[in-house]
Amino acid sequence: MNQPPKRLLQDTSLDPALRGELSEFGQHCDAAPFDLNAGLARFEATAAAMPAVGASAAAGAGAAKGAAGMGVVAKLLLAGAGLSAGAGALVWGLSFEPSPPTQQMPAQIELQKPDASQLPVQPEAAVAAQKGNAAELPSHAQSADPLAAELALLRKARAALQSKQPKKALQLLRRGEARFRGGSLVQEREALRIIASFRSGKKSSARKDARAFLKAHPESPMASRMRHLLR
Amino acid sequence: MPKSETSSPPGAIPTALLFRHHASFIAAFLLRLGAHPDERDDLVQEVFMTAHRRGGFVDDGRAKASTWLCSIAVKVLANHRRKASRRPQAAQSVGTTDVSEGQMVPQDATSLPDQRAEDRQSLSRAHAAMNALSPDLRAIFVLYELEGESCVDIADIVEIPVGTVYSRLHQARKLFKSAFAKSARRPLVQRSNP
Repeated sequence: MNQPPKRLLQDTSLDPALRGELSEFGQHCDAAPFDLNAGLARFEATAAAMPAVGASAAAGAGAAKGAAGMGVVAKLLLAGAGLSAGAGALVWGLSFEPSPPTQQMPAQIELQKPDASQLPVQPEAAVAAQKGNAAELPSHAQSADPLAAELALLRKARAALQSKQPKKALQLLRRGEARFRGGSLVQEREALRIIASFRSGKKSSARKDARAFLKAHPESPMASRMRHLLR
Repeated sequence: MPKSETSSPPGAIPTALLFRHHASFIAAFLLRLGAHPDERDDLVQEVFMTAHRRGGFVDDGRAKASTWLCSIAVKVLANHRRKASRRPQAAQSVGTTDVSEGQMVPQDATSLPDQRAEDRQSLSRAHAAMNALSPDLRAIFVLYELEGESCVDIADIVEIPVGTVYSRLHQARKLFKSAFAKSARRPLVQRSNP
């Protein structure tokens, strides 16, 4: 019968240098800066943007739209409020829309989604978000912080794509490019721009851009969307 | 441990919440496994997108969320390494070790976080010893020695029998100690000026 060995860090019979330096190695990895807010924003944008391509993504999107909008509002408020202690409760309300069939994503992730009236949000913001129209969000919700504003713009572009207005989406994304040059969501914005370009009829140039995107960002979470365009 | 790829089980914890609570840990875990710091953030995204595609975490009492995410992280990094190995020169620095004239050189020792001049040498020794391990052995070593996981949980994470975990852990510890002892006797890094 195997017995687990004494862990090296706890084995005082070992060379103290080995234990000390192993411990130090682990601590240095812990100490590497990691921007949680930027990472979360990028994750949400990717998860939200993925279903925007393909007519087949429409199935179930209507049912999920309100919940997805709630997610954006929650994110805006989280970012604007500096991710206060109530952040966890709000994040529980996040939902994501379904992906295209190729992604095999769940139709909707939802757990104890709080009633909108119980959320500490501005009523007009909640109503606008539930309509899925981020453009109607009050200005304080849209510009609470740069990251939130960048995410909100992506949300608007995605909404435009969903409502079959790719040219409007392109217009929004161009505005975002000018406003958020060097922002946290550059890859996501570029991927959405390529998708919008494809859906506006510029398929050849969109495919060319998709190839360039894949070459520059082969490991991007948006890479699968680009490959989808190239099929 | 949740296995479903296609549906969101009742009671699943949304991945955005998992991200907020566990992303920093997963980021550090990936570095300990040997991920290159420049690629860490993309790998973190891939880990949580994979979790998202699986419908989030369901606490069924058999595994912790962090253990489940570790399992995904190990697979994501292994997959990333496979892809990198197929590319001519890109991303070859992911937790690999160069063997040049019989001497081990930790490739990315200089890119470890928070490198101060006074601890660079000791950090290089531990890092070099880590780099002596194959990715599979390193994952088991890190999970046991640094993350404090049990051999039973490690067996779940890397999906091998627990008896194999014991034998690989034994092998990894032996290799690590040997590499550490060798690194103490000679300079590890002989680099030209940057």
